[in-house]
Amino acid sequence: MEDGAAAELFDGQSAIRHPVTLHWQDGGLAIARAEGAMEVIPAAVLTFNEHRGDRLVYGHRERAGWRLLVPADAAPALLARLPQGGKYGGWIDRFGLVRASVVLAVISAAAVAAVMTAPSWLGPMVPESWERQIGSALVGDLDKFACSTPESDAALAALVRQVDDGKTPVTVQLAKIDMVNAVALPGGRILIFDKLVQEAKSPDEVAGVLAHEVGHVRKRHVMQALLRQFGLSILLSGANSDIGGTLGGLATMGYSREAEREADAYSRMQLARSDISPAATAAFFGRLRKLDPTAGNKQLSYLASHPDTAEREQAFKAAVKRDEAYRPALTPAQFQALRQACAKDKDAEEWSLGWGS
Amino acid sequence: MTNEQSDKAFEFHGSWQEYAPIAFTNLLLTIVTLGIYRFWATARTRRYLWSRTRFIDDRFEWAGTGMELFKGAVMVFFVIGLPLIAFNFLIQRLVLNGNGVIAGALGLGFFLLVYWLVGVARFRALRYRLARTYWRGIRGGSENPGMAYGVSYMWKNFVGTFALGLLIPWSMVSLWNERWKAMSFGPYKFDAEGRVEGLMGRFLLCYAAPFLALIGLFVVLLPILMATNFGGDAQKAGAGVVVGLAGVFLAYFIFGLIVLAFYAKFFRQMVEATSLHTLNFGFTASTKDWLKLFLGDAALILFTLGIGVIFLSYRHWAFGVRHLHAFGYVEVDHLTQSATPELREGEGLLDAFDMGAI
Repeated sequence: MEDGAAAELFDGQSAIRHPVTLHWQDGGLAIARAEGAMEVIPAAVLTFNEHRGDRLVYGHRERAGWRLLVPADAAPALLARLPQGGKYGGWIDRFGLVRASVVLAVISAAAVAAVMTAPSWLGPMVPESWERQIGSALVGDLDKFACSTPESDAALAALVRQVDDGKTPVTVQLAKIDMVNAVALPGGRILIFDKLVQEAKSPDEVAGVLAHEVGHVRKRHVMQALLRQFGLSILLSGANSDIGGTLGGLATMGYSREAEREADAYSRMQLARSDISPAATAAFFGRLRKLDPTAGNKQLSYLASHPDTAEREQAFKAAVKRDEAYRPALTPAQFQALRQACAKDKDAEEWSLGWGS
Repeated sequence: MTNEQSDKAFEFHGSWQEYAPIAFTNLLLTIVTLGIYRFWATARTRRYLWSRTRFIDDRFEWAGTGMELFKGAVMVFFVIGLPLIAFNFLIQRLVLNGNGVIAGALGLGFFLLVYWLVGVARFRALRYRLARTYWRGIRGGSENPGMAYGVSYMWKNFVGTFALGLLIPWSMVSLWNERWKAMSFGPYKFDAEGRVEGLMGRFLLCYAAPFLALIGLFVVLLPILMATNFGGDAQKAGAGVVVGLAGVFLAYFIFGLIVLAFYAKFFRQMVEATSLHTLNFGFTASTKDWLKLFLGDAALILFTLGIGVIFLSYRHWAFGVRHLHAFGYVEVDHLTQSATPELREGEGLLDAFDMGAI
């Protein structure tokens, strides 16, 4: 039976088709060419390449292009000793399609769950000193935009004391930036933009916004946002091959809505602790609703505007207690010092994109 | 083998019933691996399509593996993806620090780099596909790594936008020629002598498309408008919406049709201008054929609620083979093994920019 199993051989050197006969012998597969030449190929170097309908195609590990085409209906004894083919790829063939699919689905679900939840439990575990280092690497030196006079520094410190209960210090600076906003940056740094202070109707409002940013720092939202974006981009690189899109997602890094709510809750708690009325902050959100403070600066992800301003306004309004004896967050003199800091500090640079004045 | 011969040099022997188990298991495994299996899925699909495609008297063989494609993608992630992410943070930092000019300059440089990479990726994808395609144990490839093609891709596409885009056909033709001239199969180099002549007519029609759409709109909708003159206000408003929607749809359809007509001609002309030693090629798909292909795609996806997507690569391959012709002869004893580098890292770059066709 084995003798004379007809097959075809391409030697990988030229496209000439060689009719051959095959049989197994000691040392491997004997391949005899019609013109008489004979070669014995060890079974170990043979590879199964594909099932081509009526023929099985085998290759040679060391000879690129070497192809042996054996009829699919050749003697079973001959075929049995040739390498057998996989279908789906190594591991999956070993486990079987159904079993492999179930196992892979479970692993994938666990991976998704891990990536989705990791930021909220992993974020707080990242040491704050690391975050400060990451922060200074990502953010750079912003001191040149900071407005500082002895009086304004004292006022700012007084404000921070009332809205922060953390152990490690946060760095709060008043920045000469012409936008109504405040940001929490990686590394426990908070910037209050001068325009926000200028437009504030009362110090309570500045306290409410500052407390919100302190909330982001204390609840480790900054690290969480960084981790979430990084984890998502890794996860998406499996399913989504579009690097551009992944980068786009990374560029629009911001806090989740839950994080915003948490920071707001922290803010209300701190205001209550220091007997500062949340009414001014509610009014601030009311005004914010009517203008978009970050318009034209969409590339600044840290400054991305917060969602649901109306809902937040309501939450702060509801936190006002009727018979509470509220006191202002700053004395008129302190508030005045804060408002004049950027005008008085001649060293502070006005922040701009860098072109024009 | 000889019984497979027919008048046509290329012939597709696959059937969708035979391909369906591959397509469905690919889909399943791709889902449960969050997309990672797609590299192996691509390799399986190609292996099937290649092995069911006859050229003269033997089938093609796809020798590429999923692992290769996967490694290519991982490499791209580390060599390009991670630096791009870091670069993005750098730009943010610069903007935050008020260095907008530097950020802008870096952004422009970044854009040029990506554009160059897209060009390189297109070149390398073709090179990789040829290097992993065997016919009678012989493969193709290219000696050229494609870096210079990336530069050509950049400046030729830029020049193409001159004069309201009138030079776009020139840039397309020139890039096709440059890419194919760098490719080879066995010992022979491809030649491509495509010309712009004959393409400009259809290309200029693209500029006329908005006017044609307007005329079409007028002809189709005039009767409706006249009829609604007799109706009430609500009816008139409704008719206005209908007219507006129909107008938008018509404009897109007519423009798409004209672009398709241009592309069909371009593709026929380019394939005809491409040759390999003693072989000349031809491509016979008319605009109508392409339209039928895409309408068929749309119908397939629509009626299978999206699942039909997994058959698109099969349909497009079959379409290509059906319309591809070769004329001339092959001297098999002179068709020796390619001396170009063997490629084992897949087309990660092309994949990264989401341009992989099949």
